[in-house]
Amino acid sequence: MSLHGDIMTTTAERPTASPKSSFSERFGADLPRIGVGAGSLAAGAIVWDLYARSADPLFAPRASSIWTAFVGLLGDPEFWRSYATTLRPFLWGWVAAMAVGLTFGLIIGMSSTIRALAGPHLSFFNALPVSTLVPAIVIAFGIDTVARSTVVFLFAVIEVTLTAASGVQYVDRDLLDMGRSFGLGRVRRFTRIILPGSAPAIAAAVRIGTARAVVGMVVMELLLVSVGVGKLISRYRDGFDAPRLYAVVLSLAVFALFVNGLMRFVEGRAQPWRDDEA
Amino acid sequence: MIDINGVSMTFERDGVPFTALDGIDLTIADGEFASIIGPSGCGKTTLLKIIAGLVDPTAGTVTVDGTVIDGPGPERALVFQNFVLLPWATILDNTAFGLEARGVGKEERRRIAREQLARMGLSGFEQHYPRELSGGMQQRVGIARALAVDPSNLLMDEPFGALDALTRQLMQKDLLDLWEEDEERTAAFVTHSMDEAVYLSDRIVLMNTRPGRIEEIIDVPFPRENRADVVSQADYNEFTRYLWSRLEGMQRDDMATRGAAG
Repeated sequence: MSLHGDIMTTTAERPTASPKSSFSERFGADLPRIGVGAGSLAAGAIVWDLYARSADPLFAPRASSIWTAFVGLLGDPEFWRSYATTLRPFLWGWVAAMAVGLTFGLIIGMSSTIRALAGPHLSFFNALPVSTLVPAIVIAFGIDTVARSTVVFLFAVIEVTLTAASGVQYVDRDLLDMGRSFGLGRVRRFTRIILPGSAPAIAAAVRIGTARAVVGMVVMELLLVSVGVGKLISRYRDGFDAPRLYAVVLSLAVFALFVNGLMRFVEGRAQPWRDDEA
Repeated sequence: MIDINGVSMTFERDGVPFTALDGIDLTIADGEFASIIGPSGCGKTTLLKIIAGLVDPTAGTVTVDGTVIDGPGPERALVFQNFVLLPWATILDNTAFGLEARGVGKEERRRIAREQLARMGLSGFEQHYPRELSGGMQQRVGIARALAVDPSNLLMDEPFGALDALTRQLMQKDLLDLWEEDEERTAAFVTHSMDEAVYLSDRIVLMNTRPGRIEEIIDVPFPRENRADVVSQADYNEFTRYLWSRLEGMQRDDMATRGAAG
């Protein structure tokens, strides 16, 4: 019996990256799932359309007219300008929420003293509907980019902080003990164990925070004086242009799905050592 | 050398003080391989953590290589029961981790890590990740990581406890071979397997529960060389039978006291 018997068995099972994996190899297993999803969406559109035939066209326009309006919007430069206007404060608020939330979350996760001090405040702001702060923000910052970014920031920052903090707290205690047994210093303890150990939670914090930021973006457009996508919404509302109104809503859903998918992709890439992400 | 002097450890458990260790005195000589064995709850793992400097005893001192310890130190390295490898680091970086913690430069620590991995039969796995290795291989990395920092004292906390029986036997044999080759380190080896203790050690420290204490220290009456051949001899069986009767007695006493208390 070879001394390395336990080595030989796993060599065969070792995952090998195939350099020429074809489309069907990569997505073959997903095809039924994608098919079911697409079919379900199509069925939903048909049900909507059946209902819309007999309903008030102002409340429920035909699916085909929404689609036509949607395609029309995609060819309209003003539609893209509106998104650009809306996305600027979204980006500022998002970046600020990530920077503040992740930093603060990591600190709270590492220090039980700071956790005890900050805990009640976080619970308070977590329970508070952020929309109620919008009037105060208007008084403080007006209605320009700073105010808009602040709304987005406030919508996201608490979730980011809490998710990141809990991630740090659940870093494997044994790894910290192991580091200590080898005399690991504070800086390396952070960079080599705590940071990579909480990478999954940090990625989750970014994803959840981004979803919250999208909500904040829409609320900001609707509650403050509308300049971007919100202006489109109010214009089509005031003109009783239901198909275009729904088309804008549809575009927001597509945008949120796109951002969410992007974040999931980043989340998967953030932890290459986990094989359940493939 | 590891010199344990009057070490006691008391926890608060639900407001009630609980004595995990009571007045432990033990000296493990330079180059000696000592196993610490006993029923669960006898505090053997706590004792090892105290020697490692991860836990402070309530009373008493531990002197390692002539210095009273007050934390982990470079003359000691620990092997963990559940391996405790960094899942995000390659096998090479995991093996070099102790050296990295101690500030050894990249080239130097990788060279040493490669050497140790080769000794453990893991050449070719440097760029793999822990999850790609079996439990036995992961513990080989754990041992390589500990040996890489070249400690004069190697502390092992049930290192083969999480492995299947066959892998466990292989690992025991390889560890024995390692010691026969060129190791002259002092070893403190916590286990709950009697066979493992007899097979590997110069001395067996028998511990008992409630409170955690040393019951008996037994010299293994077989030379460490050709330990593998001794296993079939008659006096070996006699010796293990004696050990077994002691352990069985302790376990039954413990059950009786618990029954009486409850």
